Amino acid sequence: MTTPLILDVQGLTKTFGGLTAVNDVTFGVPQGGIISVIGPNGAGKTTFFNLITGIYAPDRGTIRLAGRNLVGLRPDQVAAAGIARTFQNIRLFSSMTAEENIMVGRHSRLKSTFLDAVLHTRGFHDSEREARETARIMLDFVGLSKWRRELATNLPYGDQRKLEIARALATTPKLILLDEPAAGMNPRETEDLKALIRSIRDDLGVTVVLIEHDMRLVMTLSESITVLDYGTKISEGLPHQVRNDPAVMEAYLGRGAAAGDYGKEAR
Amino acid sequence: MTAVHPVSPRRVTPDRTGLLLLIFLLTSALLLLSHNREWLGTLGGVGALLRNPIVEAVVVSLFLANILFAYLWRAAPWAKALVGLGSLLLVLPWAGQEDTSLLDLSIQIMIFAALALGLNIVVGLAGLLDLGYVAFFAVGAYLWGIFASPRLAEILRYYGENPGATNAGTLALGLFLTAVTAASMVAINRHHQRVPPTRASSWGFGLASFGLVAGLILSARALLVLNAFRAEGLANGIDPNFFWLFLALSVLAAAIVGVLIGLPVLRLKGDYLAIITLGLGEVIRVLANNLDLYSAGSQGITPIGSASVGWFDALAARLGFAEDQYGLLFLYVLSLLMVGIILVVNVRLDRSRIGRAWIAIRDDEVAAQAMGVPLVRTKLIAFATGASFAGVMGMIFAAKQTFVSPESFNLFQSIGVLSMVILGGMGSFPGVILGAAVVTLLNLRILPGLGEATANLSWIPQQANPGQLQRLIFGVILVAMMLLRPEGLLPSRRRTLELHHEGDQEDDSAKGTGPSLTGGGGDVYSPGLETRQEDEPAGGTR
Repeated sequence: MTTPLILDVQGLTKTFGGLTAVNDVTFGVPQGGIISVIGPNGAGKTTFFNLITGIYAPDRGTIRLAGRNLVGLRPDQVAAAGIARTFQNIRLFSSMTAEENIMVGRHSRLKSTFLDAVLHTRGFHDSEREARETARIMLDFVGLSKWRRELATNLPYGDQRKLEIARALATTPKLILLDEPAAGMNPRETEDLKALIRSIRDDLGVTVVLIEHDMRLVMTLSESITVLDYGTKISEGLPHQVRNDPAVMEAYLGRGAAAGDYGKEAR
Repeated sequence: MTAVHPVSPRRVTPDRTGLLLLIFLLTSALLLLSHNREWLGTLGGVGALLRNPIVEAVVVSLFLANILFAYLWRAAPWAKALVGLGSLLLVLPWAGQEDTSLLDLSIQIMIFAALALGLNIVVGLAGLLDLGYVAFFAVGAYLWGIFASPRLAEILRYYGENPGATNAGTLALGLFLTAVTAASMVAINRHHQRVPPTRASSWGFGLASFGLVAGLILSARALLVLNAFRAEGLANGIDPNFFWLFLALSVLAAAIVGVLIGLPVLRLKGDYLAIITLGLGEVIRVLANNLDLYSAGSQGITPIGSASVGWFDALAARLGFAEDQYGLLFLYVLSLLMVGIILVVNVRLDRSRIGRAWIAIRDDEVAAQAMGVPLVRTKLIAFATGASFAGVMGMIFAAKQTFVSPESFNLFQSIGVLSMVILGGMGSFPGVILGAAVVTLLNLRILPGLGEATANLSWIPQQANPGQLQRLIFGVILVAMMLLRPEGLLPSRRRTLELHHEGDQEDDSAKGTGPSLTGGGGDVYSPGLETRQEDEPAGGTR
């Protein structure tokens, strides 16, 4: 790879009691890439995301974003450093409107202080305008402008996923982590999502890493795929390389089935 | 009792300017009449009826309901302003001239309204259940109580008699230590913003904070010893003109105590947080009970002074108030002003980056943090803001009562304020003010009035007398309220939508909620979706 790495993870390890959830994983994301992380259920994918975003502290290993060490930072500091994320089970702010959800995403970028808010200084008005404008742009970007004033929980399921992406993008990240963005979506919505993810990279210049079980989406979208199983990286490479890797087939289908062809739906 | 209409923000209500003014005039006349002994005397039977405690309580409640109507009803803005300001600034003080207890009641309502607004930030907006809130009220009350009473002279006298080895050098050392440790804490904190804390820097911070406390204690002790000779001149506390300075100090002191209590406990959530705040709230009360030198223990501190403002007294005299009413009238106006300021601060914070962060934390801590909201700092701001409101009102409370004792700050006060917040509507500013008014009226007027009115009725058995059963009746009202309107009397926009959204299937009490609340949630995409766009957005306007 000739492009510089935006995210560089070396030897990342996390154990919970006796269980090694992530085991010595090394993972590089080139600037401007779309990378997928796949693996059977319980492979440690979400734990891996939680380690990168500071929700868990790793036992060993380093995480660097554009050269800056992220280990030891709190999740909000990681967000401020430039990594945004969405969640496997949607975590929108249920009592806020779509617009307000995105405005929260703007939190770390706004400068207005407590006193600014109380005194309604110019700084306050500027930052409110800026947040509202970002919300408008982001809602537009994901195609949810019509839901601006609607409570987040009232949105249809697929749109809630998109709103989560918009909220994450509002933090102006360098890198966005999408945790199963297509879960629960129908084929049409998945197609929309694919276009949206491409647009995040092409139009906003944000590097994308996604965890996904929808193999059709993963195979057509990703430029590189990393496969985790039992917390260990078992394969990495271009989609067709990973697809034909015996280790991957074994992880998904079991030892005996790996001898046959990869014809069945891999979940 | 104050009548409350279900709020239906989206239904266009008829203009009620005329009705509003009519009710204002009627209830004002009734209030003025029922509080004027001379006029009552000329009315014979009607006068006797108006003097009945329960009738009187109803009259006061109806009068206060005016302000609620002015807020709720659609009416000309001038009429709303007239009713609101007229009630608070004209009629109420006027009636209070005849019956001082009315002013006292109003101040009490406003104190609780401010407390409820403060607790609302912590519980309603940030979602942190705080059962020790009244501790901050105690901080403000004792701060002024100690300095504006003979207590101060007692403390100085004690230190004059027991100076120990303290001298001017001690003061210098204390101040030096304070400055150095504070500076290093700030430096370490800055450092932590840039790089993750190491073990050494964390220990350094701990050591520095220990040094800061030591420095502050040394300085305070030295100041007390060095000023001990002033004890004679301060026999009745400090000059009343310091009142204004202490108003600011009480805000500051309560906010600092809020941060100190908040720092160790805000890592916890939910039940754990509730229990630990309950404990820390009790700690403050127990301290007040046992630090005899400073707080006079369970005897309490008295008499506590108040501000005396020359021009205000002159004005009050001009308006025909008796000399012993000046102080109360002054505190009435002051607390009105404070509630106004606190309300404005609340509304402004709610519609800012910080308010959004609070609600985000309440809705989903993990997601909020992942979006860049620093949890501990944001929660601390909520704690400190709520605490500061309590602090300033504590000071007004001390000045009004001229007496503070630990009994005023027990757990039941915290729970009382919490019940105001929940009864009024968590997260809703008008709601919690209404909740404070309703609960205070119930506790101070309606239920005692009921007891008094029925005390001599021979057909009610002694055990079933409402006077004896005040707590029970209050409890029944609370339970009934929570069953009928779980979102509170004047729910916040968010809360209504949420509660009635989640309970769509089984909750049939969803009166007055918008049309677009069905569906959503786990629905997958459906072609019928487009029609819902036609419905009015449930988000309301901001």
